[in-house]
Amino acid sequence: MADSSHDDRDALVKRIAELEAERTFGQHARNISAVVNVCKYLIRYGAIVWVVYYIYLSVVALAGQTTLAALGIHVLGDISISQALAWLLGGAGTLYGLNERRVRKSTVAKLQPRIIELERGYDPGRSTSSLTLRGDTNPDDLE
Amino acid sequence: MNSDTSAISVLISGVSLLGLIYLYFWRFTSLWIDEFRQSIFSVRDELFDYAAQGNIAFDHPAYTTLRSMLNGYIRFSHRISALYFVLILLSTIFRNRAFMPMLMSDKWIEVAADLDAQTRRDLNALREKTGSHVFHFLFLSSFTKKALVLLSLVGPTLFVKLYLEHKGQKEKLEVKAYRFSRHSNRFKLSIDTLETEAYVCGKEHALAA
Repeated sequence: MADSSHDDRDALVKRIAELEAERTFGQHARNISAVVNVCKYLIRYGAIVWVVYYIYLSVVALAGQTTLAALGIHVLGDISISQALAWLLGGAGTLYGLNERRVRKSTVAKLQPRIIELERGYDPGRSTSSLTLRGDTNPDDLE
Repeated sequence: MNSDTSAISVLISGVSLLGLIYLYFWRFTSLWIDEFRQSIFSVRDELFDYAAQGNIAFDHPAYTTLRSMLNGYIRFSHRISALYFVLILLSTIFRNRAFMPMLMSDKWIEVAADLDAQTRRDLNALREKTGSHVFHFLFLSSFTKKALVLLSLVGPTLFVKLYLEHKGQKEKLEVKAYRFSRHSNRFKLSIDTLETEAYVCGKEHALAA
């Protein structure tokens, strides 16, 4: 009897140590993730700042030399048919992609509850990935 | 007039570049994450079907552990990147590993101990498949990564070597590459660390639920 309670206590101590290690490890992973996020944002927004800087320089070069209306006419006048078609293709492709994505997410949101319900019939303790119903990252998981 | 034309060209190119930055850093990045999640979802479905056929109980530790790991990968895939992996790799070299919980590989040996040989083989195959999806996501998912692999000196040599080995076999190249990379102990440990993190992350949520 005494041996059994001793074993239980040992198992509990081991379990607590394991949970503590998992907690520390989770924190360590979040720290690494924070460093990666900083690098990611520096690259993304650095690229935007860099491009905007050159746009600003071109606007400065045009300032005082031309009016906004003249600039618009100039830009539109300079565009060749092939350029316009290329932009149209790019824009239409982007819109198509965004709409495809919206339709895919809606389909996931529609089917997901049914799949969960059916799977719970087999496995009542079914664990989840915690994504939203549309399959997006859970807002709580976004740092 | 000439300087006007160049300034207008810079303006138009700048706006187009902003569009490309938006597409690359926002739209394509989330597409690659969704693609990775989808591949892990399909492994999770295979695992579920395998259990539903009666090959393993839904509450068996091996099933719940593997499912927790897959849930973790799905849940925190937005955090995984090549840079993240490099930092994990460095942390396994420089940091005292005493704080680490039981590694996924050790945990797996523990939970799969009472499985029969066939079930263990099948579940190991699912783990391997997950590993090759992670490998693909880490090193081959984006255009930049593909370009880097193709342009690097090692890339073409390795590619040809793997292609020749691959000829006549059904196995995918990335599966081959993943197996090949696992010969490195450091790489193996880093993937193991990533798997452990996925498991801890997936389990955290299971406990909260």
